[in-house]
Order: sequence, then structure tokens, then C-alpha cells
Amino acid sequence: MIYLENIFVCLAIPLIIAACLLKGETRRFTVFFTLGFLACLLSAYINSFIAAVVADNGYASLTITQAMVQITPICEEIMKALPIFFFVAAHRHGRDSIVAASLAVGLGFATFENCFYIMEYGSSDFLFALARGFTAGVVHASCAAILGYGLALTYRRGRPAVPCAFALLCATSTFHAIYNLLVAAKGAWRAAGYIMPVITAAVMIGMTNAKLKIKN
Amino acid sequence: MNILKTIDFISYIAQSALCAAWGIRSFLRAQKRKDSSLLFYLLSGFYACVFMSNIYYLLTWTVEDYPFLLSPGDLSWVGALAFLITIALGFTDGWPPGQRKAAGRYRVPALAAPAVCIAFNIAYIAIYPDLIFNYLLYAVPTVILSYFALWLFLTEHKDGALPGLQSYHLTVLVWIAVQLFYDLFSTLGWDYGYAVPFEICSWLLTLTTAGVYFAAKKGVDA
Repeated sequence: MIYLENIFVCLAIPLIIAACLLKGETRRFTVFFTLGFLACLLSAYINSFIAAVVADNGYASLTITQAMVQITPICEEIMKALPIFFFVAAHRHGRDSIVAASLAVGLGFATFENCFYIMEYGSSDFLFALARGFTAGVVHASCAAILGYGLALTYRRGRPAVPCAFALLCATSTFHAIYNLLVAAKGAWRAAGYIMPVITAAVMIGMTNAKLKIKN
Repeated sequence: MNILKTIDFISYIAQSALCAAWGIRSFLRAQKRKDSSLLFYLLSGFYACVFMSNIYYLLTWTVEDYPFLLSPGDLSWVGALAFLITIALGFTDGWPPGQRKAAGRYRVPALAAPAVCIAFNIAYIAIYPDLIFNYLLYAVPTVILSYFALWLFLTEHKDGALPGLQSYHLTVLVWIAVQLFYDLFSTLGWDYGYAVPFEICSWLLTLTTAGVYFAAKKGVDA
């Protein structure tokens, strides 16, 4: 059994101390990176609870794998979005800050999740580590980036920002669920699932490098 | 029945392909024309949500047969509705107080659209009470969107407050109406001989989904 709280403590403390020493954007990035760890920890608790409920009650004739495919992405995306929503609602920052904070949460989440998987399944298999890095890690970062870019579009517009935030949350949850569905399958579907986040990241990097300007 | 199931499958693929194409088109348009970029960014989000919703349903059919319950595919469809609500709210955002007051006259007549949506949703729940949560999840954004679409349509129609966007609001209203009938026939079920009207609605939904882009483009260009 792996005690996620202990991993969280040993990873988060140095980052919290670093955040106290740093200033400006770097501090913000460190704080949100640590919040990504926390989001991962809390969603792990919630997912474990859901798995236990499904195992005990057989909810809607779902298997645990099916429940994980359908419910986990929604839970994880909500947990990741909460600190970003708070940041956008509570502070008046620029678009770049929102995107950076959002990415930091996504990266923190992916890092913490990868730490857990490496401890659970061992670090001897290089291909497993590579696959984790390029797939699940990129999915979390991509979803967070989509949320960040989307919020940056409407955050100054008052009322329209609320349904837009909800819509983005729905979109990222489904994107994540499609990935989970493909990866849980076998053969070519699984391969497609592994390729999906890489293509998404490539497109996003391409667009960012092309310096696409967003104008309200 | 098998032919109809094949047609159903094809209609899902067609709608997915069309949404992917129109999503990219909306995104490129948003890049090109900065004056209306937000509208087209949000439209690309709308198309992305419809695309992902269809892809999710197709995958649950082909990869593994999942039990029918609230799924991320449904959530994505709700997200598509939320993107259209964002667009509708965006239209009213820059209004001066005088115009807002004038538009206020049409708030009560606009309640007709949500009333129709609520009636349809009561029918769904009466026919299939097991899926009450799904229907409520769909009903809330549909009711809000239908209200804004009719209100903005009436405001444009009578006062000309939003030049050129009348056809966009009308298309959104038609899209909602088709969706309501689509849901009604899917709720009534294939077993009772509603497969043909369901398929007709499915293809109409595909066409009206594409029509949203053209109506928005026409409105912005006007």
C-alpha cells in the first residue's frame, strides 16, 4: 500500500519553502504547481471512495474499470479547475498569468500522479515511464492548458465567464474521458489513446509558437 | 432495423466529421478576423464539445459496451449548450442602459421558449423516469439557452438592436427545437417504431449544427 499523504508531504514541503523565497510569477508558478499535487491527492481520495462504493453496491451495473473511465476524469478535472477558478475570480491578473497558473496546476497534478504510478508499478521499466510521461502527463497538462486559454478569453467579461468556465470544464472532462476510454481498451484503440495526447500537445505547442494572439 | 442502425452510426460519424471541420474553420476565422474573434473562438468550443460528445458515444459503442448512464459524453453536450449561452450573454454585455431597457420589453414573451422546453422535459421524465438526472442536466442549459435565443431574436426582430444576428438566433432556436424532438424520439425508443423520425431528427441536427456557423458568419459580416 502506498501512503499518498506521505509522498505529498515530502514533495510539497520543499516547494512551499521555495515559494516563500521566490517572488512574482515564479512564486505563483511554484504555488500552483504544489496546488496541483494537492488536487491530485484529493481526487485520489474521492476516486478511491467512488471505487469502493461501486464495488460494494454495483452502481448501475458498472464495473470498477468502467466507473474509473467514466467518473474519474470528471472528478480529476473538477479538482484541477478549482484553484484556477479561484485564481481567476479572486485576482485581476493578465491572460498569461492565468495560462501559466493553469499549466502549473496541470503539471503538478501530472507529476504527483506519475510519482504514484512509478512507486506502485516500479521504476525498472523504461518504456512504462516513457509512456506515462508522454501520455497521462501530457493529458493533464493539455487539459489544464485548454482550461487556462479558454478562461483567458472571457475572464474580463463578467457574466459570460461563468458559463464559459463550466463549458470548458465539461470539454476537458470529456477529452480526458476519451483518453481513459481508449487506454482502457486493447490493441489499436489503446495505441490511439497513447497517440492522442501527443498530437494534442504538438498542436498546442505549434499554435503557441505561431504566437497566435487572442483578442477579446 | 439493421439498416437504420447503420444509418444511425453513419449519422454520428457524419456529425463528428462535420463538427471537426467547422470547429477548425471557426478557430481559423477567429484568428483571421480580430473584431469578432471571441464569438468564433466560442463557436469552435461549441463544435469541439459536440465533436467530443459524438466521439465518446461512438467509442462506447465500438470499444466496449458501456451501461447507459450519465457519462462524459452527456457532459460534453451540456458544455456545447454552455458555449452557446456564453455567446448569447456576450451579445448583451456591451449594451448601453437605454438599449437594455428597450430589450427588457421582450423578456416576458421570451419565456415561451423555456416553457416549451420544460414541457418536453416533463414528457421525457414521464416516459423514462429512470434517467431523471440526465434529463435535468440537459434541461437546465437548454431552458436558459432557449430563453436567451428567443429574447435576442425578438429584440433584433422588433428593434434591430443586434444588426444581422437575427438569423443566428433563429438557427439556435431551430437547433434547440430539433434537439428536443431528437431527444423525444430517442426516449420513445426504437422498439416502438420511432426509429425513422429519430433518424430524420439526427440528420436535421447535423445540418442545423453546421448552420450555426453560417448564421453567425452572416450576422458578423452584415
